[in-house]
Amino acid sequence: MKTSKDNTEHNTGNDLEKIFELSARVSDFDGIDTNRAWERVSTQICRTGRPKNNLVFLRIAAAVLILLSLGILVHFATQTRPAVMANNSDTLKSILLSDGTAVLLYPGASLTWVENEFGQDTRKVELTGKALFDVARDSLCPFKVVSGDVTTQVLGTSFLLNATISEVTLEVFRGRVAVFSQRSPDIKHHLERGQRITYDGGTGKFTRTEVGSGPKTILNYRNARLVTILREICFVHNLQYGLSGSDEEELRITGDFQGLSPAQIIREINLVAGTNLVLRNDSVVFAF
Amino acid sequence: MAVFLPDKNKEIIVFEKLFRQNYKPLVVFCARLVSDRAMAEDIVQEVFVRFYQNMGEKPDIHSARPYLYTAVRNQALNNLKHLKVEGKYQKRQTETNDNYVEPEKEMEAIELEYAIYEAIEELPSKCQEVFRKSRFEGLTNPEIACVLGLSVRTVETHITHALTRIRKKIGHLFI
Repeated sequence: MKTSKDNTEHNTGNDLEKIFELSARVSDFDGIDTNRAWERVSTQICRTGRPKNNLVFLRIAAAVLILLSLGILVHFATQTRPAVMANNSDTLKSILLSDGTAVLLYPGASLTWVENEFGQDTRKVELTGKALFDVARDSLCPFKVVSGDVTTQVLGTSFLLNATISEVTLEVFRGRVAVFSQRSPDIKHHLERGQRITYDGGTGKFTRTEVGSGPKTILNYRNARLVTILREICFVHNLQYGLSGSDEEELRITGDFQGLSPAQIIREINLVAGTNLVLRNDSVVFAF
Repeated sequence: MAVFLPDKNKEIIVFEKLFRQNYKPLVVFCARLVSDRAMAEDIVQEVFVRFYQNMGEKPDIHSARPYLYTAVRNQALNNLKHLKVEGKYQKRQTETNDNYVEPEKEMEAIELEYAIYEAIEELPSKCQEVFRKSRFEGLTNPEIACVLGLSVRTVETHITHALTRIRKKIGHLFI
C-alpha cells in the first residue's frame, strides 16, 4: 500500500518530468516585447478613446453623484469586513460567488470571504460545516477553502467538503484537488474524481477512503426531503431545477444514487416515490 | 490618506494589468495559429484595443480571459482568410479540425507554459543560462559543460535546481 509520503514523492517526480518536457516549448515566449506593445496599444486607445453617449453619461452621472456620496460612507464602513453567508435554515442554500463559483451550503454551514481580496491573487474562502463546491476554472488564481487546520486548493473542480471541529472530510466529483494541513503545509495530498480523504483534527493525520466504503456518500439519502435530493442531484450533474411548489417536494426518500446517470436517478425516484419527474432540456421538472 | 484616481485612470490601470498578464500568452497562442509572430502581435493588439472600447466600467478580469482567447482565435482565422493564403489556410484549418482541442484546454496549456517561462526568467543567472541551453537550444549536458566551461556534474545540479525551483513556484498549477 502506498503511503502519503510515497504519493507525494511520486507526484513531485511526475511534476518535474512534466516541467522538463514543457520547458522545451516555452522559448516561444522569448522576444515578445510587452512594454513596446503596451506603448502602441495605450497610444491607440488614448487617441480613439471609447465610444460614449455624453448626454446619457451626464444624466447618469448627475443621478449617481448624490447616491455616490452616501454610498462612499457605506462602502468604507463595510470595505474591510468579510462577507459571511450562513445557512440557518433546514434546507440547502445556493450561493454564486463573483468568479462564477457555485456553492451549495448545507444547513448549519457558513462561508466567509473578504470581498476586496477575493479574486486578486487567490480566491480564498473559509468554511464551517458542509458545502458542495463547483469551482469556476482560473489557472492563474487558485481557489482555496480553509476549514480550520485544513486548506483545500483547486483550480476548477467540483467537490464536497464537510468541516466539523474535530474532522474534515473531502470528496471529489470532478477534476483534481490538493489538500494539506497547517501542521504540514509541504505535504500535499492529491485527490481525483471519486476519491475521499478525512483529516483527524486530534492526530493531525489524513486517511484516504474509497467512496462508497464509508458510512455516508454523496447522493446517499436516508429519509431525506425530495426537494433537497433534487437540488443536490441537479447541482452535481449541472442540471436546472426550479421549485414547483408541489406537495410531492416534501416526500421523504431513502436511497443511494451514487454512480447513476441523471436519467437513471429520475427513473428510480419515480419508481420508489410514485412521482412523475422528467428530464427535459437539462432541467428536472414535474410532468403533470 | 486615500488617493482617488479619476475613473478614466482607474480603467486604464485595470486594463493595463489585464494586458500585461495576458499579452505574451495570447501572442504565442495566436502565432501557433497563423505561423507568423508579427501578424500575431498585430492581431492581439487589435483585439485588446477592441476589448478596451467595449469593456464595461468595471471589467470582470476572470471572464475577460476566455473572451480574449476566443476573439484572438476568430481574428486569426479571419486574417488568414483575408490574406487569401488559401492553400496554407485550408491546410491549417484541416489540422485544426483534426487536432481539435477545446479552447478552454488550449488556454490552460498556454498559461501553464507561460507560468513555466516566467519561473525560468526568475532563476539565478547561471542556473537560467544552463537551463535555457538545455531546454531552448537543445544542447546535451556535456555540450553545455563544454560551452560554459563547467563540469557535467555542475550542469546536472543547475538543471535539477532549476526544475525544483520552477516546481515550487508553479506547483499549484499541477493539482
